[in-house]
Amino acid sequence: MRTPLTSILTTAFRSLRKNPLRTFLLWLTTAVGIAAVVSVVSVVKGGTTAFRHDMSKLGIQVITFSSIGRPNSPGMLTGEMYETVRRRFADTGARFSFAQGYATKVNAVPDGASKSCVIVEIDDDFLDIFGLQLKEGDPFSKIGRPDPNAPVCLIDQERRRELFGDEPVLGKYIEIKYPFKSIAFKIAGVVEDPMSMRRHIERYDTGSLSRTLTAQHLVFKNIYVMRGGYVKPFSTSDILGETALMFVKPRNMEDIDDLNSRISAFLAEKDIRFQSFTMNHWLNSLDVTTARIEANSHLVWVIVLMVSAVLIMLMNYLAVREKFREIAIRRVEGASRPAIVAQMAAESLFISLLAGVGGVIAGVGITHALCAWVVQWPPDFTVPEIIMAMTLSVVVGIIATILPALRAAQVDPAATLRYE
Amino acid sequence: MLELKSINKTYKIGEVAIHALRGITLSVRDGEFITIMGPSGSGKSTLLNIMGCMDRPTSGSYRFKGTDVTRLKDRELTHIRNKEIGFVFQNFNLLWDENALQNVMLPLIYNGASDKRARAATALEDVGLGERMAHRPGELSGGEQQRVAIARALVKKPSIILADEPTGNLDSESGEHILQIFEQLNRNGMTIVIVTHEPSLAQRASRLLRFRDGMLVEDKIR
Repeated sequence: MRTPLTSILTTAFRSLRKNPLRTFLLWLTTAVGIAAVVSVVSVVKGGTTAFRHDMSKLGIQVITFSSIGRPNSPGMLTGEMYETVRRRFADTGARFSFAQGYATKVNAVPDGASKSCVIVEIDDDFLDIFGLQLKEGDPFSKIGRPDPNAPVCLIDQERRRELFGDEPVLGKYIEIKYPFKSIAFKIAGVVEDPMSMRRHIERYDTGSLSRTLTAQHLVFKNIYVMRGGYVKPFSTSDILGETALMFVKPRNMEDIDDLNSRISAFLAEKDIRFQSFTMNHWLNSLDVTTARIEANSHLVWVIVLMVSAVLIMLMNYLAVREKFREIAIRRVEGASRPAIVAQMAAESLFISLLAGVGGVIAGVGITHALCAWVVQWPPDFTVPEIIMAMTLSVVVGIIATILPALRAAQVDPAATLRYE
Repeated sequence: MLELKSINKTYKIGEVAIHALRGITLSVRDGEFITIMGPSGSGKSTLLNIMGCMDRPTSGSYRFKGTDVTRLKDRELTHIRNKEIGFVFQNFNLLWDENALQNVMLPLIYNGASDKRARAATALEDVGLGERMAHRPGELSGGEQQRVAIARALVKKPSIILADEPTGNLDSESGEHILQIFEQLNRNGMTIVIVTHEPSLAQRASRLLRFRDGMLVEDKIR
């Protein structure tokens, strides 16, 4: 004789209604766990998705060749070598750009505000290759003949906000301090920051990105000056180090590896010390970082769910002890042990499903709040994760109910009712 | 209907063995009205639990309507309790959070009966509680609660009713009312076995079984 499923479900539902406080606490415990799963996964995924999106904006089709060392030291990539390479490979249809970054100890000082920065000498091709747009002002090519004694610069969006807030900046000056001398640069334009995740990279990067020096120049807060557009106020002995960067953007994505190999071979023949990077290098670095972050985030929600499961199990155990008499009466009147277990499992199923829905809704709300006010990057919800959360809700509920249900099924009706 | 042969029941409490029943042999025929009497600890309730398939004897054989129930699994014993045996307890043992109708429906839930409500309502009307179906046990008197328990026992149309001190927690008037119900049921052919301390009830039964120290010391047919 098997108890009909409808009877089990009805009995389970009625049992939940009879004790609303216990039902609510069970629901809450599961819902909190599920909300944690949804929010942790969605926030972290949102971050990693935004990271990838930002990185792809930096030039997915660009090969970067870099040399690091003291200026004009043997083997350094120089402007002259850049021009040689450009002429040599002009027939490939690729775009070329050259930049030099100086790691000097400098400060930008407008009206007392002082920030550290990196000076990067670029040409207009740099902006085109990386698809950087000017939010304000003009690129160097439109400024006209450069005056080496009246240099101009472009600053990036975040630097602009940091130094000037909402004030107009075009035509204002920033003062860059070199050893024993300061030079005022006139601001000619503001470069839109392609990296919305810039500050998060600096906060969360484990070092794999920072080690990529090319990324440094695109991650750190830069001031762009025109190559050859000002008289350098220092001798080469003042400079602690220099990074020379040559950017090559092939006409077609498929040409990246081939062009990379050819230019690398050419530079090697010329005894140039260099490293070459493509977007794959950056994305691989990013994968290491994001995989680490995502692994840590999984640990968080696993721990939260385990705690929820233990709490649910405790509450169910207490509930079973309170219901010994009721279980004994049901057993006397024909409830089999499987029916008792099934009733508790059905109660758990009801609560788990409702808690899964509630947890997902709460998790979405928490995620939006966290992303808007704390981490400030967009969330990333995916249907598989939502389904995973709902499934986990049911699994946790059932697992946490098994032992208490088995205990309930072992209630001895004769012994229990004799002493009641 | 029931045949018990050399039934022994021993409980172990630590190292101490308690012999609740010793070598009980008896039969219960259809339509009998039996009272079981004896001092506390004589084994009356233990015998009732074994007869009701709520407990298993340590040794001996017990046949219920020809079936040796000592060899049955728990699932099968549960089925027999659900279909064949009606229980009435001293403290009523109703579900406190369910109303009278839902309490009476309880055994029908577990045997898949399709007309649970109608049958339960009829059973309550038969015991005079047709107007009190929606009341919970806390809203009923002791006598009314016991009548609900009797209705629950009857709704499954059992072969036998086993009652353990059914009037023990009732006043004399309510107790008398309950006994009249049992007598009426027996007149209609129901087999009834009642454990009691009350000699007056024993006078009204057709057969008396007296126990002492786990042994059947008297089996008297009136």
